Amino acid sequence: MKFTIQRDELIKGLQLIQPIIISHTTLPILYNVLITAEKDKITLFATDLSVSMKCSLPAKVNKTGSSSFNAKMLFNIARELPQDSAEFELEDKNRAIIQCGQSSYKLLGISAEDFPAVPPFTTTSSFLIDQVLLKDMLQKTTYAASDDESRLILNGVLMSIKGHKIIIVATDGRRLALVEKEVELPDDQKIDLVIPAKTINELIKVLKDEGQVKISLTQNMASFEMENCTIISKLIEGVYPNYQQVIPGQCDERITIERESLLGALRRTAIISNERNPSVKLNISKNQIQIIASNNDVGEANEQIPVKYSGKSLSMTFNPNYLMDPLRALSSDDIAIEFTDDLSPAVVKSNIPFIYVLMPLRIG
Amino acid sequence: MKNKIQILPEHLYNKIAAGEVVNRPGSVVKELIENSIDSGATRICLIVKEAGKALIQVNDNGSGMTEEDAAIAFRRHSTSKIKTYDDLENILTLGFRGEALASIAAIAHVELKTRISDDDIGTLVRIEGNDVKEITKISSDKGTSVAIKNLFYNTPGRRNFLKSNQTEFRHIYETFVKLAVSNPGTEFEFYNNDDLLFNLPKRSLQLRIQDLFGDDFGKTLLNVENGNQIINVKGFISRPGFTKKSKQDQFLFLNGRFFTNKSLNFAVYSAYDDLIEKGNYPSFFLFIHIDPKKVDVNVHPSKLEVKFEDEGAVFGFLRKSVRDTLRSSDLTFDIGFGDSISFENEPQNLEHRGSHGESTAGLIKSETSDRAGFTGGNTSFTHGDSGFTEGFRQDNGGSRIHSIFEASNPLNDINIDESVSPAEQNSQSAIFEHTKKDETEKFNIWQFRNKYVMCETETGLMIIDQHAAHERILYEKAVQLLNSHAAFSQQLLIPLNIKLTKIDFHLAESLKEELQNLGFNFILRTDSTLELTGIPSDIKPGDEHKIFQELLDQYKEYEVKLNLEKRDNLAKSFACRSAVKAGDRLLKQEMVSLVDNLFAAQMPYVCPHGRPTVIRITTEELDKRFSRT
Repeated sequence: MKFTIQRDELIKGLQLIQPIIISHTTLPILYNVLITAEKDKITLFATDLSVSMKCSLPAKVNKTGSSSFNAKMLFNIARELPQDSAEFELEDKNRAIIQCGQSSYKLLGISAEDFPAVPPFTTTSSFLIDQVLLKDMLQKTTYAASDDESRLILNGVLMSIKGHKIIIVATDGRRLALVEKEVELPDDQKIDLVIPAKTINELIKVLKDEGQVKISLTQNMASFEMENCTIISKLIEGVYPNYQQVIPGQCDERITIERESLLGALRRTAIISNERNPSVKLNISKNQIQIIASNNDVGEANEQIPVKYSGKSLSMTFNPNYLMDPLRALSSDDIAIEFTDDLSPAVVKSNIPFIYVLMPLRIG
Repeated sequence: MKNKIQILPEHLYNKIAAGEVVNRPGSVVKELIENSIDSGATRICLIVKEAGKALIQVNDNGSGMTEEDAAIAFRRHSTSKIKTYDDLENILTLGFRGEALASIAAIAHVELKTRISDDDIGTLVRIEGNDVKEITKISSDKGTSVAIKNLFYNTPGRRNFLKSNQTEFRHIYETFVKLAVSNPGTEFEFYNNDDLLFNLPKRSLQLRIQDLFGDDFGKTLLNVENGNQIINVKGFISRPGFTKKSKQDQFLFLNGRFFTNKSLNFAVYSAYDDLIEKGNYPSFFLFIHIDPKKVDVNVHPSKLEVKFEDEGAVFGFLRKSVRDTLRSSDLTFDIGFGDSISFENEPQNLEHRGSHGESTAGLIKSETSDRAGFTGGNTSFTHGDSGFTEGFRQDNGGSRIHSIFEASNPLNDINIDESVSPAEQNSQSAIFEHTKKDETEKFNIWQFRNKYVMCETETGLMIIDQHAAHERILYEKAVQLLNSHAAFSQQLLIPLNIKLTKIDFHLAESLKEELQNLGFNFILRTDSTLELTGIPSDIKPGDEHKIFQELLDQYKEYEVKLNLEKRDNLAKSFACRSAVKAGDRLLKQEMVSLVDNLFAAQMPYVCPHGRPTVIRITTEELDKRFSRT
């Protein structure tokens, strides 16, 4: 294997695959990235055995071949290379020489044959979606997924495809985010898949603002193919909770409010709230929302936002982080908040259609 | 067909029963001394040879027995202590089952000499394996003397099970200590292989403990006294800082009888809360008196276990009594240069009394050097090394501290109705006077090696560990803060189903309100499934199930208030991280503020990990040191 590559291309590629590499493993080869040189490109491949990522970089290949090297070390080297272009040559099976200007490295690797193979992938169905659309939907929901490993299914994000509609849902049992879009799909498909949050977070980084992504499915895996990059992920098996059940059908009251001003008010009041156990109280009355955060040890913060409201007065207490999350993820100017009483879920809505259900904090 | 079932002959069932009551020399000692005490003796002498394998003799000056009584005393279920079933309900004597002498007689050679005060001449009874070999008139002192020889001579199996002389002697020694502690009004002598180990005069309880464990140990104790119409407790507990790594020297007595009860031991530990480090245990000598109708002591032949009608109430009472004592005491560590006998003397004393070359002298030495652990050298608080002897003041102070404690910890005392005890109403003691702000300014205060704050007080010099003291202040703040937010419960969008055992399910049902106060909301479903609908908002997702189960287990084991230990640990680590460190330079105002805040704390004397925050040297001690007195 021998190739010449632009330094910036190499950095970009290694940066992308870096999050796939796990920090602690008993299988040292997983610290490595597999480099394969073919025709006029090289391919980087990394895996943690449940999520794998492959990305291609343009390169001038003199001799094809492949081997694997410590991904972090290679990344650190690439970032410090003194010139724009570097030559990479495999001396024997697992020793490479990197030459760049006056500097050169001899890098020990592990032979490509030892690298875990890409699991066989027999597509059962596949479809295309706009990258920008998928990215937007994922960004609006993924933060609500759980990182609690005891309820594995909630660590994933549900992608539900029905006819020409795609629905993405994430929940940690305390709040739930849902977004729905019409898409052009070749034929009537009805698929539910739960994708690990790690995969989604990678996907968000890789998805671009143009072009399409090809999603292919097998029994328990999904692959996301983009122009120079493919992510293959195991799916989380199990039954996703019935999300429709927890979305309140009808709430008593509704307030429309400017998203930025509500977010700003929450951000300012939450500063006062106890760091470990944050809470803000929303006092809703005629044409006004008052937001109060208090902390015995520090003091109190108070904000008033004028709104158009003529319903019943009531107070609700929330974890401010849970309330700010969707406001940060949305981009519309106005949002609506629907609610019934201080113990029932509140619903944040936006006309995407986007729904966010949040349970309040109960006092005493 | 020939009948197969027969009534066992008496000598055989006595042998069988002996296994229950008498399983080692130590239990013979227990039975005999208890009989002496029940007979009203004021002097008891115990003589032991070869760890009781050769001889156990107990002489007393009690009421003695007539010839007729002496002759039947060794029959099973013969007892002078109860006559009717009603008596059994009201047992105040130590023995009552009428099994002891019969059981002992079945497995040893027994010689009984006894005389009642009305007679001029006494009786001698000699028994071997339940057969009366001799009854004669002899001249003897008033009282009873029982000598047990060749224990287990006719039950070789049992004899082979005996441990080494050292171990068996230790059991005798422990038995003796328990009985001597519980009867300070009785004189005791204890001879081992002709060496006088103890000669204990009639004493107060505290002095009896000092006689047994050493003067210095006696001075590390705090007096506990509390009671009402139904139950009362008296006795002594260790000061925090004089706790030990083992659970040794923990004595609970019920109506004068030693007993063991894990749950009540825990009641005492838990009263120390954060005053002791994890893994350390206090010593205690606590005498509980309770209406005999409320307990059943007849659970086990050796009467080591008792059954309470309402163990939860006893638990709460004991815990509160100990806690009140700790809160109302001045726990400052005084450094004294006192001339009290240092503890090293005790083993020497013992050796001195005994004859040389006997294994027991060494044995006693090891016994007592174990004890030295809590009286100086080996404690976590080691001033022994520097040649100082620690002395402690016993003044009752800190009512202000106490009232803060009561007020700010409403959550701590959900279960037990803890009314304010008289001890809490004591006036403020001298040590706290200086803590008023304007007064602190009057005293000199300076920093030593950027590590200790030295502060002049009215009575002497206070040395404060700046890190430990600050830690204590921050810890209390943090606990208060965390608990003030405790009421928030994050409601769940998707309820969590928890499958419980039947017992836990009912427990959860009965504790519903308390669990709700901690932030758990739930609905009880049928089939032992519980649906969590709300959880404390500060617990990590994924921990809910575990923490809920832990709370139930905690309650099952100890029946104590529910407490999120996690919050306490959080407060501790917060305090430790945020406190000023050794090496930080403090300005005068900072030092004054540290001292003020420390003595405004609920428990200023120890840091949250149980180490001392303050040491005091009184002016008198310094004067003494410089021979000014």
